[in-house]
Amino acid sequence: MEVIYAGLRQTPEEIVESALEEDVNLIGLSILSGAHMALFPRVLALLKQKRATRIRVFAGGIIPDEDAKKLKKMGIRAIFGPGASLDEIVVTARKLAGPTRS
Amino acid sequence: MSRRPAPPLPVAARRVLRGDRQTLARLITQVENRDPAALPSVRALYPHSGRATVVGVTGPLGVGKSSLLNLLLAQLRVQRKRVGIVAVDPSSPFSGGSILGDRIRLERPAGDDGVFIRSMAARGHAGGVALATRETVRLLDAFGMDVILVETVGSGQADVEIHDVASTSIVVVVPHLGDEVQSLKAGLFEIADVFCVNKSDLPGAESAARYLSELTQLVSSKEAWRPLVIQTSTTVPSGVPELWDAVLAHEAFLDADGSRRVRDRQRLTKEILGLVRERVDARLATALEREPDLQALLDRVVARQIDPYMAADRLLAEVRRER
Repeated sequence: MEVIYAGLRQTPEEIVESALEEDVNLIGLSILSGAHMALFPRVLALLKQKRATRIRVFAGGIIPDEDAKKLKKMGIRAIFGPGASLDEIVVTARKLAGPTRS
Repeated sequence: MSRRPAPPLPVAARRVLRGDRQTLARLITQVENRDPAALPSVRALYPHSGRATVVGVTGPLGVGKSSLLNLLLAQLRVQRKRVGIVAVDPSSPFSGGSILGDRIRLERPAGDDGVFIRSMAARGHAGGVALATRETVRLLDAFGMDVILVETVGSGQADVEIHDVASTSIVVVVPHLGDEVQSLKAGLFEIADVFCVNKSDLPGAESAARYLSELTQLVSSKEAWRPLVIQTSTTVPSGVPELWDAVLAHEAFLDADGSRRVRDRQRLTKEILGLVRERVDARLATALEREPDLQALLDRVVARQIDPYMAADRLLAEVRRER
């Protein structure tokens, strides 16, 4: 598995562009600012617009349950809150990334 | 005798030539994975490559290569050059995986179609970065990039190979704690066409630059290219235009004295030999699978009934057998 750390404070446009250039299987979004209801759907919309919905998205951060439910309906595959175990996250990421390519 | 019409381009190759970034990204992934599915397109795109200026940027961790790349990228974009960046990171020898951190420091305006940035792991393939990186660079070249910057970490074998990819290599050092000397030990001195003494705002920059300059004088013959030494800073940006001028000066030198042709031929020779080796290795792997008596063969070597050379001959005979 390869992880590309895209850095802090990226716009949805930058995130999607990086993901496309790197031809990733999975995007992980981390957010603490509370802007998830604005930014996450934007990432999903951009992926759709670029016909790249094969790339799955999962997320983590401070996200109220109610929002998490809505986001999952929109297409965010998994959402982790504070205290999620690393194991749980890795297992989910593996599953979402699909079969290894190499 | 009539010329045969050129065979139609594979779909992916056609898309890359039309500027389809996602197809380019997918092809690079296949090239990285040494997926034979990429071959028809990679081969079809070969005639469309050879126009880009390929520049290697290498040096130890922490010398500010990524910041420097950001500034170079910005300057080249102002000049309306289309720029591809390949950031090569060493894979962990333990997990085989890699955390490619370079993206964090490479910034640019989103939606800029004139830039394509790709990180690569120097996976365990024999020849290190050489084969996959070379092919990636060539794909970016065929895609229409004017300049391709290849960033590598200066930590051993993989970096010396930058010379096999780039026509001009910049070696980045910092003026501190004798780092410049460490770089020379790492074999970076030989590959430098341009030395960049980064963080020139630090004390000792002047003397480090002078030291390198004197060294280049000692080792370079009269007719050969003498590596230029440029001081740069990325905190208060300075020296970047001069750095690019030095690259262009070296490129002009390569054309003027005909060494570009010589170096290109050397590079291609190495590449072709690398491909042959890759294929022989693959065949050896199948031969090993086919040799049901490998364990028995080993037993006999262990028991001193035959020697390792004879065992090798047996395997070689298997490799020679057509599939």
